[in-house]
Amino acid sequence: MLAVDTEIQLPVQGARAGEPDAWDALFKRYQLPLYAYAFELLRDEQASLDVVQESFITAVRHIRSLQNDEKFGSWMFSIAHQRCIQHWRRSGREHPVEVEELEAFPSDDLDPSEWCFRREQEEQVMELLGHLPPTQRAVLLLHFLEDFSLEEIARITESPMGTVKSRLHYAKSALRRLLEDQRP
Amino acid sequence: MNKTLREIVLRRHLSAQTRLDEMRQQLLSETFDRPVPQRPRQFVGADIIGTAMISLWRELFWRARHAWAGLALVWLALLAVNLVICDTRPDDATRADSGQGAIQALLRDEQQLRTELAEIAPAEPLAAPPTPPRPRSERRVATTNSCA
Repeated sequence: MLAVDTEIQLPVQGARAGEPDAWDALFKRYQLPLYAYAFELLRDEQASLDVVQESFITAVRHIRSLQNDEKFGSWMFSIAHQRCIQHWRRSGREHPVEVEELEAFPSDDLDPSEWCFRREQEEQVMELLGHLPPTQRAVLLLHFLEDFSLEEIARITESPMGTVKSRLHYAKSALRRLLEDQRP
Repeated sequence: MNKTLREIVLRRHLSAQTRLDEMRQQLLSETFDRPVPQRPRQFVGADIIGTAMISLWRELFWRARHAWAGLALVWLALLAVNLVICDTRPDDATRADSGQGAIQALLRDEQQLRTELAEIAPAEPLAAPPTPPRPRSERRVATTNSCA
C-alpha cells in the first residue's frame, strides 16, 4: 500500500495557523507525488529533491496567498511546476513548448482510476511516459497522480484550457494503445 | 493484479521516501524549531565500547541478578551488625584516653600522700654544715680563753 492517501481531510487550517503538525501532515501527504512529478519532468534525483524542498518552503511562506483550502494540492503542484521550469532555465534548457493543435477533442469518459495496467506492462508504461514530450508528460502526470481537473491542470501549468486538453488527448492516446494491446 | 498509472509511478519512486522524510523533518525543525527525530545511528568507536559495557552488564550481572541481590543483602546485614557492635564497645582512642587519666590519677594520689606525710612528721633539723677551718691565731685565742 502506498503511503499517500487522498481521502484524509487535510489540515490546511492548522497550517495557516502555523501548526507544525499540520504542516507535517501536509508535507507527508504530498512529498512523494511532488517528487515523482518533478523527477519525471527533470530526470534528476537531486534536482527533484530540491524542487520538493523549495516547494515546501515557498508553501510555508506564502500560505496566506492560498484562497481556497480545497485547492491546496493544486496550489502545491503549481509551485513545484514553477520550480521545475526555473530548474530548466538554470540548467540552460529551454522550457519545451510544442506546437499545439488547438482543435476540439472529445473528452474522455474514463476516470484515471479506470486506467489499469498489468504488472508486466509497468515497464512499458514508464518507458512510454519517458518518451512523451515534457508538456504532455506533465499534463498526464497531473491528471493521473492527483486526478486534477482540466481547469486545475491549466492553472498549474499556466496554459490555456484547450492546450491542456490537446496535450492530455495525445498522451492518453498513447496509453490507450497500451491498454488495447493487453486485451485478448 | 492490475495497477493504475498513479500506483505505478508512485511505486517507482518509493525508494526516495527515506530521503524525503529526512528532508521534511529537517525543514520542519528549521522552520518551526521542532526537534528532529533521531535515527538509529551507525556503530562508531564510542558505541562499540558502550555496547561492550552493556553486554558485560547483561552477561555478568543481569543474568544472575537474584544472586547479586542476595549477596548485597548479606553484605548490608554484615554492615549493620558491624555498626551495632562498634557502638557498644569503646574504641581505641577512648581506651588510650582512659589510660592517660589513670596515670594522672596515680600521680595525684602520690603527691597527696607526700603532702600528708610531710604534715604528720616534720622534717628533722638539718645538720649544721661543717665549719670551715679557722685561722691559727683565732684558734690560739680560743684555747687561751678556755684555759683561763
